[in-house]
Amino acid sequence: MENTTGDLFDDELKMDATAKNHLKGIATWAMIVVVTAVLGYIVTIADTFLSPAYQVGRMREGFTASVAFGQKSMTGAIIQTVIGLIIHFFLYRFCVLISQSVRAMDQDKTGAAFRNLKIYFAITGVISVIVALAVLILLAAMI
Amino acid sequence: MEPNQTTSLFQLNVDANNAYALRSAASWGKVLGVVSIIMGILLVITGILVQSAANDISSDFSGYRGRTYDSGALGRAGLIVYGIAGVIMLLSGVFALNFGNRASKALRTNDTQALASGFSAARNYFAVWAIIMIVLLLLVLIGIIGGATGSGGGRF
Repeated sequence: MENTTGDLFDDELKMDATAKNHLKGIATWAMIVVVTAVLGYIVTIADTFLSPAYQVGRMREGFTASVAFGQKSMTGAIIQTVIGLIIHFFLYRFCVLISQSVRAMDQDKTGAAFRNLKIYFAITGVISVIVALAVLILLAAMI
Repeated sequence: MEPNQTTSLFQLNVDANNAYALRSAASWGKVLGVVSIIMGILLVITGILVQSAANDISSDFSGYRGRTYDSGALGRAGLIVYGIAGVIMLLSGVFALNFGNRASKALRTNDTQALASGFSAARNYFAVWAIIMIVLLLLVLIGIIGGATGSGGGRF
């Protein structure tokens, strides 16, 4: 009997067992990132809305402005939470899709997972560029 | 007699669509890696500048009576905080860059081992951030609990 190995995907890159294990690892760690981030946003919002800003210091001897410490910006907290939730939504989608694709050997889900990872990296990259520029401005101001 | 064909239908492959998506993710991973490394270096430099500025303030006001705080210690604390943040950014940047480079190489050369190595780097990237986020969350919770218990008697 002629025994030929007619691999339909000879020219495609294959994912071996090690790669699949690493993908499962990525999904697990990324899910931990998502859960801790969401918990962090909940804590931030709760802290911002529940605990009032308090004033430390009082007007003394002609000083007309009191000194306030611990004041929290509600707008800032909301913006931070919304942006963070959007970013982590894509990471969550990546985790779910990559887990499903490894379990079911589903090529379409693998592609969709990588697309979500790309969006996550893209948004994080752009925000990192903005933060890096801010740090650069801070540095320039210090020098 | 019919040939006995073995096909890889039940194996996970990176087809043309997946390759495009993975290549884009790898490119953005490289961008993120490079920016994170630059930011890590900038943060370490900022820490050093903060410490030297605090030391200058400390020496300028060393003759004043009634000084109740040590700005030198504040500068050292600044250096430690900025230094830790910088090292974290550097580390995560290196992992992101490794993911980008290795995944791109795997797609270019059809190298399965390079692909696994790239995924390993991505796993390390997320592991670093997961650990950091758990630590930060705990610190925030400790801060809030400390603030809530401490502020009761401390208010004017």
